[in-house]
Amino acid sequence: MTAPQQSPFPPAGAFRPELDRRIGVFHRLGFQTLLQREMRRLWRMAAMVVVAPAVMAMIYFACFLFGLGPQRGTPEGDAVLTFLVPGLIMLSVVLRSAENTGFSLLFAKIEGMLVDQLMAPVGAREVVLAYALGGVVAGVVSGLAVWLGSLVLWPLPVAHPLAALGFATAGALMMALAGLLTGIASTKWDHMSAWFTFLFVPVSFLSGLFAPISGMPPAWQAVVQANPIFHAIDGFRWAMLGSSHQDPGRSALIVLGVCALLYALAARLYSIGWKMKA
Amino acid sequence: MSQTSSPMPRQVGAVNWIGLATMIRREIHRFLKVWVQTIAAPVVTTLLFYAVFALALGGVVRMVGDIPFLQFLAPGLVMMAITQNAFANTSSSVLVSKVQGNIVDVLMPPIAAWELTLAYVVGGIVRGLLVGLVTALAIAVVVPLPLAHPGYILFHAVMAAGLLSLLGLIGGIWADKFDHMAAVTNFVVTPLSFLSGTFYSINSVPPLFHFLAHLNPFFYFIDGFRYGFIGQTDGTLGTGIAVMLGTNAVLALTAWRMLSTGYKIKA
Repeated sequence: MTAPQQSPFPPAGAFRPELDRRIGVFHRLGFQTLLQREMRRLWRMAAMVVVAPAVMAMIYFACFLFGLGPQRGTPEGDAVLTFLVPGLIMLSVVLRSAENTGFSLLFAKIEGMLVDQLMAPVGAREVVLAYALGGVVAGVVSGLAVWLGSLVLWPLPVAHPLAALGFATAGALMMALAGLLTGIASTKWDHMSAWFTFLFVPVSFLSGLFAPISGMPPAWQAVVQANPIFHAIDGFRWAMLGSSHQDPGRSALIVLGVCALLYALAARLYSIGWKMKA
Repeated sequence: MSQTSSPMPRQVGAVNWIGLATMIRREIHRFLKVWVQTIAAPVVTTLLFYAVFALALGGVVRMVGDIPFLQFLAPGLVMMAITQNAFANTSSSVLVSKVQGNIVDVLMPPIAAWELTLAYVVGGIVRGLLVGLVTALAIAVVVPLPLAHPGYILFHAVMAAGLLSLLGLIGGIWADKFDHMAAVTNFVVTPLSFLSGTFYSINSVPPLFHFLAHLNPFFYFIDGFRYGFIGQTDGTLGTGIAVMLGTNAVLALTAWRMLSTGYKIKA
């Protein structure tokens, strides 16, 4: 339906009469435009999305490698490192995707340009999906960067590549939606950083990321089991290493279920304009 | 002098005490006003690191030299919190003033460059020490922290916080936007503070990293600071003290020079 374009990005707001303006059940053009906006935003911050998480993950890895002390080079030590790699990849995926949606929405709100998308004939469905997809791309790309970095330091064969991509995408989608919700709920940057410091980062760190939960006290295990990020990471670990704490099918169901809940909540809040329409 | 009732200009002596005190008060008030972000958040993050590394690497029995791993780790993490927050305080203070344009209010009054430098650094040191103190108290609830040489603890904490405050000040003056500062934090300060013997004794790393650690001022902060708690050192305390004093002097001169010439802050 679109004419071939010279530039991948047509000028914003350009009048293109060839485009069909009738809006059906799903406003495809609106969705595409918002998604394109998210992609451009991502492209401009490419260095921060790709390089910073990869460097940070390598630093964590080095700390663990040296921190092993006398265990370094032994089978037990190697097992700790092998366990760690999928966790570090997923840490980057989940935090980066939440950051992307949350900051994008809050920035629009604070700068006063949120009105442009509230006025346009796009519904909550299109907006939430466009943001979420932008967050998924950011998360998965940063995860890929960390994975490439891990190939240098600690190369591991990937047992189920497609499942790995699937779990990374599902985990990213879950956190992109969660990030979007915090963006909706926040009105200041302080609120946003509080959500990350006091909720997202602790919940991601204490999710069996660095150490197997089988070594934890039972009460603590129950707490971690209730953490959806644990399931995303555990499923991803199964996809990468071929073994995990629990059945990957169960992990996938839990993550997708939480995604559905968060989507419904985000779409509802966006459509009533909570904290967005005066 | 026909009108004796006209207000006299205030005489500023060698030191503008009122200006200095006002600047210091502003620097401290600035971060205390948002203490959730500037004190509580870094404390939570540091404790999280402590929990994670203790779970993954500690075990209950793991020892580093004669010291249980959990005791070894604590001073390193406290020092990491001190340095990162001292840096964050001065760098964000200067950069926010620059971006918002209110740096002019700091440059116009009769406050000398060295007084400005000192005020910024004191603000950074106070924030670093406060975060460090709260973190140490929180950790001490879980793991007993001996105080072998309190003088060393204080000296290294102040020196390290001062050094990072100066670095943050210089970075803040140099940076044009928040991206620059984020790059310095991500690619310089964080790697240096993580790869400096916080999480491990540098005597257990490969020779190349052992050598590199000795070029990293963070290694000396953490080593000396840890010595103050547990009385065990990985390096040479004297060298460390000399490195820290020297680096602080060079950075203080650089920052003073930048502020007095108005590098990047006066048009």
